[in-house]
Amino acid sequence: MIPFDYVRPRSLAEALTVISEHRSACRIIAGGTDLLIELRCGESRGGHDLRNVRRLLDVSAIPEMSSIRAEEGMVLVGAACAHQLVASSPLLQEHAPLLCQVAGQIGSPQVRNLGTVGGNLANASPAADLAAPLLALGAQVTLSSRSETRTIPLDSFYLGPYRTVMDPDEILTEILFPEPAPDNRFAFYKIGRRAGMTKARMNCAVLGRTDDGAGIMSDVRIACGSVTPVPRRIEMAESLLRGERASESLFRRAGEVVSEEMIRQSGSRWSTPYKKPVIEVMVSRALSEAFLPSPGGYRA
Amino acid sequence: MKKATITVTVNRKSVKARVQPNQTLLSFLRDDLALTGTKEGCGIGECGACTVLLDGKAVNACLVLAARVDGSEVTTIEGLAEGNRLHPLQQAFIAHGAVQCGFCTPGVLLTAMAFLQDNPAPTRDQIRRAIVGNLCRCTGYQQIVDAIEAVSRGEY
Repeated sequence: MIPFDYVRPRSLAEALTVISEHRSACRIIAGGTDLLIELRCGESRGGHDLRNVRRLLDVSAIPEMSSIRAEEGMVLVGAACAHQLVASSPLLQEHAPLLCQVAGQIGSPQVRNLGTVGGNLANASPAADLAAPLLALGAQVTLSSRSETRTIPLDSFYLGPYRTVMDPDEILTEILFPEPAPDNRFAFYKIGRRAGMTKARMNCAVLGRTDDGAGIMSDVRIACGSVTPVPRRIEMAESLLRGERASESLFRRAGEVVSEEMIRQSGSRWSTPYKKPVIEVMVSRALSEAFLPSPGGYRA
Repeated sequence: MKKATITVTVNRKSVKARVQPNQTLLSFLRDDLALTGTKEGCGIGECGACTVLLDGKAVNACLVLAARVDGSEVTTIEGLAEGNRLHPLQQAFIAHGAVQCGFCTPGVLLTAMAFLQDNPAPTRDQIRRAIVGNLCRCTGYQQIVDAIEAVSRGEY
């Protein structure tokens, strides 16, 4: 384990002072479920030079970053909220059950009691489970430094695998998204080695509405992780569906559009013979589960 | 590195200690407090052998820095029994053959205890999901699920 000093402030102002003084020599820790593994191994997946780290800034005790609330049609989730808090939050279960479902199956109960929403996003693994549903929800993230606070769309947050637009003196403090309409339907799939405690090989989230009775789709979002270089909504597949009647053949075509987009953005790689047919089925199954009547009924 | 002073309640007893900032809770419990019931299996939060309760919630002690637990309560396997009286989960695990080599057992027991506190009447499927973060190489898990289910039914 590399040596470092440790501080766990009780206010955001104090945290911002610490990080503004130490900048790249300071790493933010919340749950530690990713960072502690990197520190233990002495290397970072994102190319961050851990040997320069002199200080860990623990944000898990900052009240401003640990709340979940709804205000003026927006839902705001503190970045230091643990996955278990998100999964069990009555407010989120009412307003964004997609997020609860996804947060509730990350890792294990032990990991969910430590790992945080902010950490899942800021660590910027392409497979981070919360990125796809938050992109589908149209989320933004708030980045605070001592000198300024900016809010940017989540789809502008990523630069590449394990790389974000965050400056060395910034803390990701909050994730916010507009309250989805109550008749929104959704589904989330991930695939991995195990049914639980697994990093996604790929994941996808779909969210949207159909005009009742006609089954005509409106406002559909399809977001995938570990498919394109960074988590993304696949707009080409979304526009294929808009205004069309929900059907299995349409959803199969949407899955093909996603795999075509994957190859267009990432090129044909060693993983493509596996990923291409699998993402096509994942996307079409997720869309069918969300938007077609089934014996199991609809998700609300 | 500057040592951190922490005051933490471990198994209902207050402990004041100085820890290295880069020391894990797992190391603090085993090496500083000689509470060796908590085991290191993988060191990266995947196997659950190091599971302890932090403020009542099951966590992997290998992923928690000792300095973080200042002001908190930690429960380890040593805190389950009361004197010679085994916790109902411990009794059930023995009766159902849910302990073989015993290495995963402290972690599973604490996970199960925290789980049953929030879910007093679980289905078998819910029990299986609750222990997804605890790997056992011996039992095949059936006896573990049986024991937890039996406790949830008030049989111990």
